[in-house]
Amino acid sequence: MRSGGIRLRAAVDTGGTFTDVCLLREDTGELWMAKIISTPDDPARAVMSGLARAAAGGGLDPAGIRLLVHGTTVATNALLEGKGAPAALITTRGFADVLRIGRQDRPDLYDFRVTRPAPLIPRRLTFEINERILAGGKIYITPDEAEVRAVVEEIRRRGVSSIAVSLLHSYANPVHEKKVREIIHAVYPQAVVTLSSEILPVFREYERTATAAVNAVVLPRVAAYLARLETALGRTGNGGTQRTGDGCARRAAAVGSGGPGLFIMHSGGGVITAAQAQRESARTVLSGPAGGVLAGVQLAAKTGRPNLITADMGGTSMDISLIRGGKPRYTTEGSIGGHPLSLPMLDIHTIGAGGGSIAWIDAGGALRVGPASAGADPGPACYGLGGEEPTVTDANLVLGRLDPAHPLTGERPLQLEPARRSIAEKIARPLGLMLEEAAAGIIAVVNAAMARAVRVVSVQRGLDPRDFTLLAFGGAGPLHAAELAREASIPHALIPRHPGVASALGMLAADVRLDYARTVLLPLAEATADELARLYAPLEEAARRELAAEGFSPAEMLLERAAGLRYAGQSYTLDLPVPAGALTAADLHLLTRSFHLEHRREYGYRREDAPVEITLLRLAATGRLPAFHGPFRAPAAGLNSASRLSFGRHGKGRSAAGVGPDGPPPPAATRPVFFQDACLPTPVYERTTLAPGQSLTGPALIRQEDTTTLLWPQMRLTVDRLGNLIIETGVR
Amino acid sequence: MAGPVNPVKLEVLRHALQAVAEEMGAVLTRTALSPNIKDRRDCSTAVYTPDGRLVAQAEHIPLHLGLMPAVVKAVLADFPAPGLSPGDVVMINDPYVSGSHLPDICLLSPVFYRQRPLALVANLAHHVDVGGSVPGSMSTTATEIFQEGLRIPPLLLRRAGQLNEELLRLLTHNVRTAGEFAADIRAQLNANELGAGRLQELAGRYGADVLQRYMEAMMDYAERRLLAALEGMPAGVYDFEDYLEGDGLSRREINIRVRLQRHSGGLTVDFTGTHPQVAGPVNATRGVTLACVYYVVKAVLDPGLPSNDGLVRSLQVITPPGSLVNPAFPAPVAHANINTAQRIADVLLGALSGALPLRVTAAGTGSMSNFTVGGLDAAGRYYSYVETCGGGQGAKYGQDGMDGVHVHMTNTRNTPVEVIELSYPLRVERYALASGSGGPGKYRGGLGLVREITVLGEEATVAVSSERAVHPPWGLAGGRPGERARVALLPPAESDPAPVVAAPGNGDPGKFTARVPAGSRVILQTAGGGGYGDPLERDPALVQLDVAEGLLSRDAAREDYGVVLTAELTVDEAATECLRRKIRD
Repeated sequence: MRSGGIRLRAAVDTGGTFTDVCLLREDTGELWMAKIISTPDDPARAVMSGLARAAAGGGLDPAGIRLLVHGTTVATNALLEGKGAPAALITTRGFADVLRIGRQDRPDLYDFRVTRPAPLIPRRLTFEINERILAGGKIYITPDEAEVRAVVEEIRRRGVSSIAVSLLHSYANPVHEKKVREIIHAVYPQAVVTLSSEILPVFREYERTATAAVNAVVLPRVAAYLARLETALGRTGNGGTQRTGDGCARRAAAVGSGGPGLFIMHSGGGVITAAQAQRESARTVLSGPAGGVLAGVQLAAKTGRPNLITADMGGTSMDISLIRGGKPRYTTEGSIGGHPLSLPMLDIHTIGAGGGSIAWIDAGGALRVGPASAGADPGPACYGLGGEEPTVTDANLVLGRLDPAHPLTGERPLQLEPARRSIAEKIARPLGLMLEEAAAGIIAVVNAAMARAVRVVSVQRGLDPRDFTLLAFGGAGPLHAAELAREASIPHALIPRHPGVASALGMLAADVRLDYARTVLLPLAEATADELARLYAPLEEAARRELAAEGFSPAEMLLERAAGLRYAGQSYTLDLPVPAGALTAADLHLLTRSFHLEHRREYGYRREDAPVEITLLRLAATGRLPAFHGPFRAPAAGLNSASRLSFGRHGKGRSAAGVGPDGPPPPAATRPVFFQDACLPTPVYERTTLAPGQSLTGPALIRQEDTTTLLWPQMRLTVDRLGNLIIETGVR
Repeated sequence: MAGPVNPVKLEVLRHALQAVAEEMGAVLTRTALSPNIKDRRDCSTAVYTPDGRLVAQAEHIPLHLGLMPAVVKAVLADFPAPGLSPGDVVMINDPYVSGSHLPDICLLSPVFYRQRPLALVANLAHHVDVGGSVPGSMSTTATEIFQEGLRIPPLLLRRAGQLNEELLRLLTHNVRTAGEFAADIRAQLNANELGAGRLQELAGRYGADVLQRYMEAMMDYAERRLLAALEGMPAGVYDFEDYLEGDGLSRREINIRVRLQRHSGGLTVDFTGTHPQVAGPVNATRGVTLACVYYVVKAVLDPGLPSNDGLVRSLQVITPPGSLVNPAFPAPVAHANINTAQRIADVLLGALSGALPLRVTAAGTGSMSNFTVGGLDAAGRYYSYVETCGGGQGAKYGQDGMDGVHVHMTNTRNTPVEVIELSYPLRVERYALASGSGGPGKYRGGLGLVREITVLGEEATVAVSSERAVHPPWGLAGGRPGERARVALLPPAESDPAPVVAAPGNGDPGKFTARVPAGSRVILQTAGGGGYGDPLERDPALVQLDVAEGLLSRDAAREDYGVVLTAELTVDEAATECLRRKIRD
């Protein structure tokens, strides 16, 4: 196949175990995918070889890649493994301990030994300066330039080149923080500076300072990694902002000269340029999981199922998020590794339950699963790498739900004997259960834990799971989807076409999204429409300027206003959308009404007589990238014609063309599978033989390259027009 | 109820029943109006068997762990056969029935399935105000419970689904914040309703008999786990005694004594010898005392133990009637939750240190350190700033105590400095760890906190109630005490002379209440935690790090730890070894 002139778009999702690559040919909508082992010492290596492998699968030249969207774990790992760069903090006199004190609560009510993590910036690299701004933004004590210079000199002497500046009330008046930055630039030009008033201009000093500290600590790591990746991609650094005039104009900004435009997935579900990710690195901590949520958002739109609960189940953990009315939920109360991170990010709930989770019996004689995981090495007993602990994957294998000949990853054959031995010795015998009973018990327990997590994101927020569809992906998701959905009272489960690379697919269709915010205190009854619109103006100017710098034309920009409202004196706010453009008194009235209604939905009551105030203005600025419709568009003939998953060997032979549109195709095999109390002969279908409109009734296994879907007896499975599997769980 | 118990179903239903308690808690905190419930989460929710034994609880602060089982059993005694009917809700706050203090109101609902009793659900929430002599119903000088607010005996707030509006009117008429009170009660009703519905769903799915059988099995399971944990505790008798530094009215010392006896049937906890009840509001009802016992047992023996009736079966708790730990009506009780509860926890840990020295902590900051400023702002509106302050956690074997945290019976968050200054006419001058306040030890006690606040606007009333200002938090295994708490009041324009320790009335150095003019500065320093193990055995590198981090002075490194640091802050190993030898001799 010739590749000259063929435009390709790629997405790469670096995970803990695997790096997933999707490659899209823009003119035909054809997709190629690859899944290869990650290279944590230098993630760029796996990115490059993954791109090469995916391209080779289609006989394409990787040089044709114009646009690369990347989910990276560099920031996440730096924080979770305590391998951030050394950084210094400059703060207001009297408050050097802000990171150490936090909110004075302890992480566990009962366990003395569960302690708070050490602050990201130690006290010995924290420097107080004599300055003070008051609550309203009024200057009380002006900083002394000589003192600041001395502090910066000292930081330089210590060899620390990343500096966070977080002064009290800087959200209200950033002038002192800016002054400090000027002095740093003058005294120590090599230093990179994070201002709390720029990364998070909102009140609450601990959360704002901690967010600035996260940025200061991950920035050098992320910047160095992206620089390495750019070199590997053949990009020669962050080029200027010249426009190329074609459909991918914004590449001009992201691209140096040569190489694809590089965009980084951020925690808020959009992408930012590599250059921006090198400045605001804290925004990339949920870079990977955000892709999965985006895949959910896209599927919600394409399938007409606006309410989804996404469940991404991998080897060690499961990420759960909720999409309602086609929109994901955001939070500004996130945290990572015990450090708060208050930037707007997708609301993703993570629990320690995955294929590698270890089953054990506790002191009271109950069967427990996780949170300990066997990881990838030695891995579950069935990997045969010396792992002796029984895991969820071992239980699936013993029950016949996984086929030793068709392992999850496509790379490593599974061994039944060690799995049986491990479950028999460690679980079945001590509990006096049959082997299969014990294995089914392990699955039931892990599903119960996952169902409880699903209830946390739904029921505990006043939402009924019956109104949702479970979107299950990740290597282990589709095996558990049906039972988990039933356990959590969800009527339908949806398995997308490529569950193993769903996050990367989500990234392929991401837009550029920038977030802006400012703190205000505006009683709605006293506010005028003009005043409110005026307050948004500086945010909008900044957004337009920055999107233009990324090469977007005004027509490709979408600016969405939101405001944080509360009843006067409350400590929590609700975000509500605010119309664009000039505002009228009617808009303000509607805003107040919507707040009362939303408050009742969220908190169960409203107070029509109480004053309502706006405390925060937000602006989400989207720069639209060219639309991309596959793989969610209706497939033309078979499902496999335009998409292939490459594991370094060619896909399995596809079978049986010409199956009817409604009846089930002939199964590829039949295997005994244990359900509840019985072993049933269970037909095994190749996913590639199932066509839209076909349906079948469980029990059944549906096998594909990167995962296996389990259909329980009596449950019905239908292939929708897009090729997704829809399971009816019987819940009403 | 007999029948086979499947370990898998046990774990599945444990998740399901715990989820019921947690969802009730989520509804309560989401629909309540007052910040105390919504933000500080001073509330808890639980599921019981029809005869009032705890099955699952979602407590947000450990203090509630023992309170709720006490209230439910006492309430049921008030409703003899035929007992409660579908749609009933009982309301109660009387500490002499419920075990807490008056602001904690409990709502209890029976749950029926096909006309048969299935379970009980209940929740407990701390209300802003329940009347009495001072706003907030937490007078520091009350001498009778009548000054602390309205006492509600077990009454039907709802009878067969019909809300008793007259009762509600009487109550809202007698509290200062009627709107919040009514809204919070409604949130409590919501929580019980949700819990009942969820339990009925589970009964429909698994069968009522099966569900009840597994409720029993869950309690048996907790009992087995606790017994397994007790196996690790050597048989014997363990005594300990410690003191409260005053009851709010006088400075006299109040002893709390405990004797633990580990025997084949479990553990006996005997408070005989504890001081008789006192005149001021620091008397701890038996429910509060039980909460402290359950907390310490769980924390020391098995922090993951489910909170249910199985936890209490092997514990015999003796609280002499008429004593500080089981007062007789009408003794005032409001402040026992803040100070006495923390001291009871310390005493229990001290006793357990004799049996399980590797599992306990040294004494921690020892108080929830209440800090209140109230007065008029520039616009003439009344404001009231209330905060509880953490301090040093006691050190434990193998680990330093945490710095500046709430310990033991509470875990509420602080108010951010920027929020204080946005909301009240106050300026925070300093919010920091108290350098050097951690008790020296091989493992260092946690540091106390310093809050320094200037009163702006008009004259204000400042009240501080802390403890461990006389008896510092003790260390263990050769570890030394943490630094004492102190409070200071600096009059306006006083630049920097020796702070005046204001102790109007009783001279208690940890507590005062005073009217102060604008411009006055108040400083509260909470106690540091006790150390663990001989400080001369602390790794010099850790001492060096503490000095580098500003947690310890160079002098203290030398005097307390025998560690000599060079001018460049490196450890002078030879000098250190020499000094340590000299100190030992």
